[in-house]
Amino acid sequence: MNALAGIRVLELLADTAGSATAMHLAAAGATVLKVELPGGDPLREWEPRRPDGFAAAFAELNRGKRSIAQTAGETLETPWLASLIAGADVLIVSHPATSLESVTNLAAMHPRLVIAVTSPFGETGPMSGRPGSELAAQAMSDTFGSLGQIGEAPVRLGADASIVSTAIFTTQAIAAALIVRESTGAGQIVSTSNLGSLLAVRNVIWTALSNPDEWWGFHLDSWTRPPEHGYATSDGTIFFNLWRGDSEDWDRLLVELDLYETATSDPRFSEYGRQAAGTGRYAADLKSTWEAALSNRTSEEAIGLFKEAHANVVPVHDYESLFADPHFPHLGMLREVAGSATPVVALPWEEEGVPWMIPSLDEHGAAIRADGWSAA
Amino acid sequence: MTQPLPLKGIKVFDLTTAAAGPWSTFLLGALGADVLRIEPPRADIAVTVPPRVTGMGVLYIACNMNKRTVALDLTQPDDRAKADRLLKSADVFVENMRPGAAKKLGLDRDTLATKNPGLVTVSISGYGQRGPMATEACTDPLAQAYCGWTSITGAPGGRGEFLRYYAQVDLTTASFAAEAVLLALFERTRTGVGKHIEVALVQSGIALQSTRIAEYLATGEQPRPMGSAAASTAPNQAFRGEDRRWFTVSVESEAQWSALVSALSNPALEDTRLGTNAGRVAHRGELASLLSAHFGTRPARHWLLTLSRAGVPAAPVLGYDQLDGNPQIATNQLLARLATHWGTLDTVSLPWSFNGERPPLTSAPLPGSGTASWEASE
Repeated sequence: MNALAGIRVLELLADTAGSATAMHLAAAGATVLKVELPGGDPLREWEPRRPDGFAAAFAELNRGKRSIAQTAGETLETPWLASLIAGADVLIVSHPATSLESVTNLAAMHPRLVIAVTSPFGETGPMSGRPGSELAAQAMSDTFGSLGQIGEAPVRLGADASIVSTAIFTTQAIAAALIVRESTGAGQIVSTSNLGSLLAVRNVIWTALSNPDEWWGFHLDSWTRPPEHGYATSDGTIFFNLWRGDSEDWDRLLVELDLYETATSDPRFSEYGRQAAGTGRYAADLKSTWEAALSNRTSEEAIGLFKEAHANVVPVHDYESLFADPHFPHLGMLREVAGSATPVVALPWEEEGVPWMIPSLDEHGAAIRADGWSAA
Repeated sequence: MTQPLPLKGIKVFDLTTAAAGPWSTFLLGALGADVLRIEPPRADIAVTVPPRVTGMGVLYIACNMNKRTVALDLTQPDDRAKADRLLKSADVFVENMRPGAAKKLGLDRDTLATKNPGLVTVSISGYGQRGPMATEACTDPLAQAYCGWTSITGAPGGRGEFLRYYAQVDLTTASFAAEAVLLALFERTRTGVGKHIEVALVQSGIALQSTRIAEYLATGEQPRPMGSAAASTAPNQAFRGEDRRWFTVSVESEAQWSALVSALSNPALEDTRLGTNAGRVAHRGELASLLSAHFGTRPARHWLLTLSRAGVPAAPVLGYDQLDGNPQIATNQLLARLATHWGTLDTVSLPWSFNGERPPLTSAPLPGSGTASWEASE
């Protein structure tokens, strides 16, 4: 996508979500300069490392940018940086690393500038001055309530959901502000937070919990269920629901799995198993029954059986099996990195383009200090 | 808001059902677009699936705020003619039917763009528009299973587990779609031409894991469930205080590590093997044991204060009932209580603010309730 071709984005000492936002803008065609602390973005030290030496997470969130490192004592007034700000369309900063007073001053000095402020917990309140993390956002958004076992140690969602969500929402806000600027000529300050973003994508559960007619339905009972692992087969794991089959499908499936007598004598299997599997009302209670019936079937065999019964069924993948899945290449989710055999993961809407570059610390510093945006 | 909403004047033809489509158009509506939801002849599953409030599915209530709705059966000539008139002047068209269904209805990108070249068209699907699984039915938990994220989530050494909130991938897909629409609308201000956007649930599930898949791509080794810990830095996990309450500690930079060492005054942390992130990650088990013992000597509140003063990322573990009164969430208005047609309910507050102001929320409409007024205005 070249939606932002010609748009200049300055990422100034941003936090991880701000840095991810700048990557989204680069993927949409913007020119992005990343200003780093003298020692570099801390993500450069995260583990593990790619064969090309870059930290895996750093490469993912910083592809397509150019890097310039500040030296000790440089400020927003330092000429090269002041000049970059003056020439930018979008400035991405993070609170509390950049004060809200500075943001307000910059907005006054540069009325066409769109300034995006990301923060861990929001810009006011008792935690507004504190550093955050993916884990902190998950802990405070009750994400742990949808994982693990009650009474046991917390489990995090393995995906960095607050960082990714904040990057999406911040990009939305920046694009909206740029649309406004096209007609008014005025920039504005847009703000997001990791905590707010993660709370936002949990929208459905807040509404579900607030005043339900009856305490059931998968947004409620799943809250207190044991961990959901899918259904073990003889060589892997699958997941299925039985929302679509008819009586013929159902009878055939039960006979094949030698479950006919069990299922026809148990009302929890009624309605052709609608509530007996997947996220159904009785799925957790009946898990062991299904797994016993699947224990002598491979995942491929089981998926075939369920498909014949018009069930919705998929393998429960790890990365190795995901990448080997015949459908995976059709999703177009990998992109090349220049000079490296190790790709990066694409955004869903990201178009194919030239291989991405990953910036070394201050790789473009000398040229940008000398020539500003024209070196970008 | 005192300023005009960013998408004021933008018209969205919303032919979506369930969650991922409707939440994407909700976001556009919240930004000021006039979203006209086309109510299908057969009730949207979101209306019927439990849990329900006053008989209405919470999925419908949560995903259809800030919209109008009309009932149209696009297979009937009269209704189709009305839809075609709407589409001629629309700015955005969003559908989430099975791949191929829109084309059968003459609502594919090529056909629509012939009559309205400025139209931004969006197709949201489960498995994408191409490939052997393209036409299979998909839901959030099926996408979770397929996209690999159960393999990185769960108790250490255990089987990977699903997120038992079965709308996270749906609403993330919606968010990616709305993001792409906004970028395309900006591009259109310069080119005058709309474009086609495709977003799929499993793509979004994969993109959510980009930093974890990056670990796999970097090393060839499958990341494993690590409980609350992270592969990238250490310590970065939940600990329990003397009062048995959990809290999180995340050290993500050398400065934060120095701050932690200084704040805890525990000589064992000065072990040179722990002096770099790589060293701490390599000795994560030992480090976690050491810190667990240390944190077990005082209540969680003590450590949250200590770490906060030192500048080390730390947070309490909150449950739903604690969110409402949490001063950080309340002060920043991160949750909202909205008067809806089905009572006053908790809902999301919007994730962005513009010059310090959040756009207003309005209740999801009663399904099809806008038909009469819309036809009168036609």
